[in-house]
This record gives sequence, structure tokens and C-alpha cells, in this order.
Amino acid sequence: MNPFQNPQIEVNQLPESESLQFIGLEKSYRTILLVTTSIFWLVLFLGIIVSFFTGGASIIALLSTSIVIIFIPIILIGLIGFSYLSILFGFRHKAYALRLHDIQYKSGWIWRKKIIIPFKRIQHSEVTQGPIERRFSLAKLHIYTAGGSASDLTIPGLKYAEAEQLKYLITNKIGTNGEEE
Amino acid sequence: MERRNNFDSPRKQSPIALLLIVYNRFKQFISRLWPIILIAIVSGGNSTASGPDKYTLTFIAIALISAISGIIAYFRYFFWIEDDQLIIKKGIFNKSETQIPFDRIQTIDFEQNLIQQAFGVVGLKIETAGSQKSELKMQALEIDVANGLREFILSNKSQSMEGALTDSVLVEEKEEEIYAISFPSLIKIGLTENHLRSVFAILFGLYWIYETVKDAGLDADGYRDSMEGTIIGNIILIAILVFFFIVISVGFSVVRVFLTYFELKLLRRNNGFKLVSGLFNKKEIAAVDKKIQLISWKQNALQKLLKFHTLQMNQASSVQLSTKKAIIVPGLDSNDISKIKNYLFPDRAEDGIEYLSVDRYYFLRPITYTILLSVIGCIAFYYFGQYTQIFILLLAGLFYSINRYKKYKKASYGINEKAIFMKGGVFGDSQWFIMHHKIQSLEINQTPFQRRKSLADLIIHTASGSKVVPYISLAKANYLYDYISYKVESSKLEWM
Repeated sequence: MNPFQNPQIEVNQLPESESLQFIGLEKSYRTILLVTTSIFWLVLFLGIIVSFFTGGASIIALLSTSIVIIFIPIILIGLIGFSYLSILFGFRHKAYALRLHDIQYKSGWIWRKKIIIPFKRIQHSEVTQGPIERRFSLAKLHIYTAGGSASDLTIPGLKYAEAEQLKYLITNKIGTNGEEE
Repeated sequence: MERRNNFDSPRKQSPIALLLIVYNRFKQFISRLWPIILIAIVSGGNSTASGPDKYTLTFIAIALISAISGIIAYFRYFFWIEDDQLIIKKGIFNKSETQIPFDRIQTIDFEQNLIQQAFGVVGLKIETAGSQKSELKMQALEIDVANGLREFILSNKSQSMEGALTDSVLVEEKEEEIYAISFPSLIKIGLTENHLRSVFAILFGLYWIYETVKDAGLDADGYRDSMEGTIIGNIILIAILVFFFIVISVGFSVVRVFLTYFELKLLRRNNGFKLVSGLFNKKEIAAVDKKIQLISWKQNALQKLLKFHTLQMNQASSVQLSTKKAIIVPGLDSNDISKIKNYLFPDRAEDGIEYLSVDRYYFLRPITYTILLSVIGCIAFYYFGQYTQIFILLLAGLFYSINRYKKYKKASYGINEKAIFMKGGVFGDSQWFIMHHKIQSLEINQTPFQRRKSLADLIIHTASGSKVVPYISLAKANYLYDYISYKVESSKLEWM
């Protein structure tokens, strides 16, 4: 029994997003993620070490209580491990796909997520490039929709030229969509 | 059509604006400088009464600065209309001239606080399209002037847009009142507000205080017997406190409802709604049909008994989503609701929709966790000999489980070629629907658990908020994802 009354198109003729070929992100984006995460942990450790040497008796006392000595390292190692694992495994799941009328992006290693934005509903798009990304000549494509930011989309790890192309494509699509139909 | 324009030469706001600007600047100063002022007061208090009071001096200085800058700001503020653009020129040191084409203007709202009411002026809030924060405020205009300005902008705006003919003719039409709140329903709404939540919060707080006091007392063994004796006294005390608390919270919400919804009126114009309400702070919110993306209505258990709903219409807004922009109308019966729905989305073809329930894991999942946690908690409490806690824990667990079960039982969704509908609620009822052509993006989310069971959440984003269809089979979620996106992309209906 099919509850969906749809006179215009048969169910099996609907454009299916499942069978779409999703395009993965650039490999060097994973390197960027690893580098930035490593920098984050390094800074944190430096902070802890510096505070240990300059903080005086109270911090040393706090750091050498048994709870801190046993649990903090366990938690920290867990967090660090998780952050790297989620980069290594999560990377494979980040991918985007373009169709004639929409763009899709999926992500998530543990919590899976897939989002679709029709070009019609895009307000504008933007390409950004941070200092580390510039070294690898990668860029991020930001897609903005109307209203709140809940349905905005950022696709990282694109080649800079590719991101610019996508942006150009989207801008054109926004402009011409009305005439096409 | 004749286009009269009284705004073609620069003009200032109503002189009342002077007062309001000064007042607002003063408030701004205080709110920005309050730490310094606080320090001034504290240090002034410490020093003995020698020399002039620093605190009064700062106060006078602030008052003077805000008065002078406010007066200058007022005399430097001009607005006029030129070539279908609203132009605002202002500034003391940084002069600025803002030009807003009518087409960019999304909404024009009126606001009246006590001062503005007393002098018969209104504050104007103009919101424009664009992703950066783009809101424009005028402090005070005489009501006729404000009305004239709004009418002029709105009528000329629609003229320059497609479908202009019908729009501009009908804008001239008078407004029809489709709903006005009555005094009894004001009381009804006030009494049926959700007090339960605050009652529980306070009860919990009281229990916590009681426990800490008891714990402190129990340190000494000898107190045990005398504590037992006072427990009954404590219970009576708590009962009295709870009773007072209920009375206070009910009274509070009645007053709040009275202030916000006093003389609430929902007016229908050709292409939109207008909501007027408020006792001291008169508020007027206008919404054009096109802007309304999402409509929902709900009733709690008490309101279900008295057969009325609270309706909410969310309109698209360039500013971050806030309830301020939503049109909220309480005290509507089912007829009123379907009337409003018919105005907005007459072709939603709601009849004959088959509602499907969500997956049973929607309640089995949280309940499994609840049982697990309760068992662990009970064992722990048993081990420590705290038997009252076991009872309370079980009660809370039971209540939560019933809640989740009810929620699961009520949750159902339906779809046709026009819109997606969802019903929900726990003890009351809630419903929403979104027309396909109002949807701006779709999302499928899966937790690890959902992935094992091939379930998923479908999230529907509109320009005025998101809604979730939880725990449906992945196949169905994918189907809806494909179907709705196809519907959005192939729709030729006007979006906003």
C-alpha cells in the first residue's frame, strides 16, 4: 500500500539520490585536518606544561592529586584518539554531489548526515581560504540560504579553482533558474 | 492610479522622538558603563562624606552627554522618499545616507511602548532583505504619518513587482477582522498556561534544599529522632509553600497573558495578516502571506478540554530567527484555525491524508535507557540506604516513560503532493504542516543506533525554522528526501 498519491511521477521514476555518485574531498584536506588538530593539542599541552611550571604550588598540588593523575590522562588520551580517528574515518564519509537542480553533501563517521539544497533556494555562495588551506591551494565553499543558519552548508576540502567553479555554477543557476522552467 | 507622495522632501521624526532618543541613549550609556558606575558607587560609599559625590557627578555627566548627543541626533535625522526608495540621512560625526529600494523592504512593523502611547506616536521597524543584519528603526512618527508611509511603500512596492495589478488594487481594500480575543478567553488562556513545568522546577528546588538541610542534620546521630518528628511539619510547610507557589505562578501567567494579549486582533488584508495586541506595549506585526513559511498550532491538556488552540505562523526573516517575528495567536477554536489555513494555503488538499506513525524505537530507545539508568540508580541508592530516593527515582522514570510513550503514540506524519503534515504532542496536541514549495532544504540524520535499525530522522528546513520527522525507516526517509526535493525543484509556485 502506497500512501503517497503522486499523479505526476511514478515512485520508481523519482530522481534517486541514493544511487548518485558522490565526489569525495581532496586528500590533502585530511592532512590539513590532521595538522590543525595536532596544533590544537600541542597548544593545549604547552599551556598545561607552562602553567605547571609557572602556576606555583596550588596548580602542582591540583595536578598531582590521584584523581587528576589517573583520570585526566585517560580522558585526554581518549579525546585525542577520538579526534584523530574521526578525522581518519570521517574523511571517507565527507562527499558532495551535484545534480542539475541541487547540491548535496554528506558527512559523519558515527552520526551520519546528508543534506540537499536546491539551487533555487540558495541566496548566495562564497569561497574562503585560510592560511593553511592556501598552502595546499584548497578552499571552502559556503552556501547560504534564507532565514537562519540551520540550513546553510559548508563544503570544505575543495581545490581552490574547483570551489570557484562551483560558486560560478551556483551563481548562474540562481540567476537562470526562473527562465529555465 | 494616483500616487500621492507626502514624503518627497526631507522631514524629521515627530518631536516626541527627541525624548525617546535621549531616553534610549541614556539607557545605552548606563548599560554599557554599569561596571564603572557600580565601582563609582561602591568606592563613593566607602569614602566618608568629604568632597562632592563622585556618583552624582558621573550620573549628571552621563545625562548631559546623552541629552546633548540625542538632541543633535534628532535634528540630524531626515527621511524622505525618492524614486521608490526610502532614504535616511543621519549622523553627527559619521554622516550616513541609507537608500533602501522598496523592493528590498520585507516588513514594516509598528511598536508602541508606554511613552509612545501617551504621545500618540509609533516606533517603526523596517526590515530589509539581505543576509547581514539589516534592520532599521525610527523612534517616533505620528500615527497618520507612519500609516501613510507604510501604505505608500507597500503599495508602490507591490507595483514594481510581478503580479502587481491584483496586489496594488487590493491593498487599498479595508482590513477585515477575522479574530478578536474576548475577555473570558483572555482569562482562559491565562489559567491554562503551562504552570506544571514551573511547579516541578520549584518542587525539585525545595526538595533539594530540604535534602541538604537534612544531610547536614544527619551528621550527628542524635538528631535522627527529632528530625523524624519534624518531617511531618516540613511536609505541611512544603505543601503550604507549593500552594502559594501555584497561586503565584498562575496569577503571574494570568497577568502576563493579560499584558501581552490584551485586545488582541487578527486582521486580514488581501495579501497578509496583521496582528495587534498588548496593554502597555502595543505591538503590531504585519506578515505578508508569501513570507509565511510554516504554520503550527498546539493545545495542552487543559486547553484541549476547553477546546482552543494557540496558532503560530513563522515568517521568513533575514535577521536570526526570533519569536518576535512569529505571529502567535492564542485562544483559537478549530474553525478559526481552518479559516486561517484556508487563507494561507487553500490548495493544501488536507482531506483524506493518511497519517503514518513513526517507528516504535522512538519510545523504546529512550525507555531502555531510562530503565537501565533507573536500575543502576536504584541499586546505588539501595546500597547507600536512601529509600526515599528510590521511590522518587522510580516515579520520575515512570513519568518520563509515560511521556515518551504518549509522544510516540501521538507522533504521525502524512504527505501529499502539496505539503507535508505532522501531528504530535504528549498530553496535549500539536500539529504543523509545510507546503512543499516553502521548503528550502532537507536533511537526513542517523545516529549509530538508527543506522543499525535502518531508521533515520528527516529534517525539513524552511526560511523560518526547521521541523523534524523523527524515527522513520531509512527507505522512507530517502523516499521523502527525493520526493520533496523533486517537488521543490519542479514547483513553479512563488516561494517568498
